[in-house]
Amino acid sequence: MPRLNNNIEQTKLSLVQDRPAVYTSEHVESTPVKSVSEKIENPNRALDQVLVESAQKGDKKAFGLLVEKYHRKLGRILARMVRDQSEIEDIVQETFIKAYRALPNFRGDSAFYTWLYRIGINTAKNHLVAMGKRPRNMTEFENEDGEFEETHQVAEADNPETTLLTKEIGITVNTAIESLPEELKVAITLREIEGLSYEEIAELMDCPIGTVRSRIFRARETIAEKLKPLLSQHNNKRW
Amino acid sequence: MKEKISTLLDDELDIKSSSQAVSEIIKDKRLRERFETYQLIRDSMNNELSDATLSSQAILDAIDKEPIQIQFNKDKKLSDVIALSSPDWMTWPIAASFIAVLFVGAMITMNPLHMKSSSTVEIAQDVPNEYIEAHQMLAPTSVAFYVDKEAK
Repeated sequence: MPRLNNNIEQTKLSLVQDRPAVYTSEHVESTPVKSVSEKIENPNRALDQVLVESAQKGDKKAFGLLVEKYHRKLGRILARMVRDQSEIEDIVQETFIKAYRALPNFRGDSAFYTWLYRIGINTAKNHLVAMGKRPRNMTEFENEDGEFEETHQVAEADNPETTLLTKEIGITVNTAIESLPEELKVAITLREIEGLSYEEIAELMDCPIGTVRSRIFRARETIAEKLKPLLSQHNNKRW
Repeated sequence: MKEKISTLLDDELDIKSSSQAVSEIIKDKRLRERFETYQLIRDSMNNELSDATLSSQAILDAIDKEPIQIQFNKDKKLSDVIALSSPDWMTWPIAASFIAVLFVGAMITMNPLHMKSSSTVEIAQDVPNEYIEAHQMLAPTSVAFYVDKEAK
C-alpha cells in the first residue's frame, strides 16, 4: 500500500509555501502542531465516553462502534508482537471479548483505548507463552508516559485476496485525496494526519470553524464515494 | 446527519450532541455504514490497515454471542434502584409491605407451635392437698364413674 506520509509532508510543505499572505512563518511556527504520537495519546474522548456508557447500559451496537474504531489500530500494535496474521486476528477478537466481559468494571480512570490495548498486550503475551514463544519486552511498544507508540511494521500476509483488497483500499484513498481540491486536501490532512482540532485548522487556514467542518466533511464524502464500488463488492463484511 | 457523523468522529461535538448522534447512528444502518467508512478512511490515511484486521465482522459476530453486560451505577442508592422511577406516593406502600413481611416473619418465628416441645413435664409441687382432692372429686373420670355406679 502506498505510504501517505511522504504525500502528507509534501502537502504540509505546499501549505506553508503556497499559503496566502496571512500565513506568516511566525503564525505557522506559533501554531501548536501535534505529532502523531501526541495525537494517539489524545484520541476522541467524548465519543468514547458516550459509546462506553451506552455499552455499559447493555447496548451491543455501541460496543460495535468501539470495535469499528479500534480493531485496526489494535491489530497494528499487536503485529509488533505476533507475526502470523491469523493469530493476530484471533488475539484481536479475544481482546474485544475480554474487554466486553470486563466492561461493567471499567470505571473510566484511564482512556478506553489505553485500557483496551493493555488487555490486548496481555492477551498477546499469554498467547505467546501458550505457544511456547518468548514474549518480547513490551517497553519497546510504550513511550515514557506508558502510552503506545505508533508502528509502521506490518505482519506478513497469508491471504492474497485480503492483501489485494487492503492494497486497493489504500490506493483508492490515496488517489482520492490527491484528486481533492486543495482546500479540502489540506483540511482533511491536517485533521487526520496531524490531528489538529477544527479551531487550530481554522486558524491555520484563516477561515471560520464552520468552513473547516464543511471542508473535512466534503473531503470524506468524496473519498467515501470513490471507495463505494470497492466496498460494495465485499458488502458481506463490516468495515 | 452525515456531516454530524464527520464532526462526531473528530470529537468536535459536546457530550449531549455526541450522545444524540450516537443514538441515531445505532438506529440507522446506513448511518452506521457511513461511520464505518469514515473510520476506514482515517485508518487508511494513518497507515493502519492490515490484512488481519481489515474487517470487524468476526469480532462483532463473537460479541453477538456474548450475554449482555450491564453496569449498575454505584453512585445510585439502593432505594433508587428498587423504587426505579416510581412516584413518591409509591414509597409508603412499599415500606408498609416490607414492614408487614417482617412482622409476619417475626410472628412465625416466635410462634410456640413452631418451638420444639420439651420432653419433660413440669408438675406443680406446692399445690395444697385440698385442691387436689376437690379436683379429683369433681372430675368426670372413669374412676369416679365406676365408684358412682358401684354405689348405686
